[in-house]
Amino acid sequence: MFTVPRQSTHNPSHDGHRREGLSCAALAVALLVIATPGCSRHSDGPLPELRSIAASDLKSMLGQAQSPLTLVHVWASWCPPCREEFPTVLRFREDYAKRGLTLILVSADSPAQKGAVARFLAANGASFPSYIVANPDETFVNTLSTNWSGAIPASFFFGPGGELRTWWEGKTAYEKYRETAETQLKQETKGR
Amino acid sequence: MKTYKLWASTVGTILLAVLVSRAQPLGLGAAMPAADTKMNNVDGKTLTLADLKGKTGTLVIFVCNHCPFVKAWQDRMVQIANEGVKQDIAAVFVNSNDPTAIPEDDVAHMKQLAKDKGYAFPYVVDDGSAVARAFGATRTPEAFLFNADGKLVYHGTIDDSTYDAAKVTKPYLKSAVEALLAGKAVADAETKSVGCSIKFHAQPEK
Repeated sequence: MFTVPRQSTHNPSHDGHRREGLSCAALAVALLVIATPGCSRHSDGPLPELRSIAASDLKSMLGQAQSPLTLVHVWASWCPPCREEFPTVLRFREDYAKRGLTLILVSADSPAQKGAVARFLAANGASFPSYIVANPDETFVNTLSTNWSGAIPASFFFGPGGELRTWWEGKTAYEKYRETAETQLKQETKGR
Repeated sequence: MKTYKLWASTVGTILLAVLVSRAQPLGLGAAMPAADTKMNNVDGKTLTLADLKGKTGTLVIFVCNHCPFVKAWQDRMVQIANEGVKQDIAAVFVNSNDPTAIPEDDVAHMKQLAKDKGYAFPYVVDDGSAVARAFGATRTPEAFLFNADGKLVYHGTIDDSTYDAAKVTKPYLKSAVEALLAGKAVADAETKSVGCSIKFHAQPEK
């Protein structure tokens, strides 16, 4: 069975209304890392865990990755193509998690925008923990790919141990994500 | 059927590769591209990069109005550009975004921004995004600094602390301008950071 919460990819605007849960105050106490400013406004469910991440943390996280395939997706809550592509990325996670895909969402929003990021994640049903980059500088860009210009959205696929397999920048259709996973997961099975 | 599928997918992949391919970013030492492309300034006049060329150098920064990265660096960029202008480094901010994609990136907002932030230099419309394509620019903000001979001496981001000016340890662009003024080589001549993707105008049909 799915361990990933189901979410409608066709009507993401409804997703935020689905879960009832902890009150904002309780959540803020339970999860100290979460952006509490978001809680002062209305929110329909618990906000997902959102941690600040430095380039060095991301690097060691990828180095320790054991999943057959890890997708690091860099986005921002205000970025129009990122917002448009977001349901596709979540659908992709939903479809491939059981085959060994791990999705690491990294927002490049300003740390001051943590509340907006958490609300956007919640509204789209991305209830799993995700990240906000501490400083979207050159070190961060090069941690993902030295060939990346830094334009967002961008997606980076890593094999176990953080080996970069393929990547792209720009809003991308589900079909390309699907093809990439099929190719990469097939290679991974053969290699074992 | 299988053969057809394979063929279709191969053709599709090639087509996609052609569609998404773009010019490589300008290399160090390259001559200023698209120098004769006419662009409209917020003051209503038309100018080219060749018209603008400064005695000591020329600073071209691809920006736009809406992008939070541009907003975060706005004051720092304007300060560098305004200082440069005082010292014979011509500066220009170029907006290559298609305002039909992002309404805030239209000329009216450009005029307001240039006024509010005190631009002592032109803020021009790259209608059709031809200049951005010629530079191989992909994001905003993205800076290109040329020397007196119109050769590229710096390409990259503004500094190493997008959201917190107080935490800048490497003021890349400022240092590049200072090096150019001092007649020295630029130390970190190619840098990067996360930025907004340029919302290119559709390519004109050939």
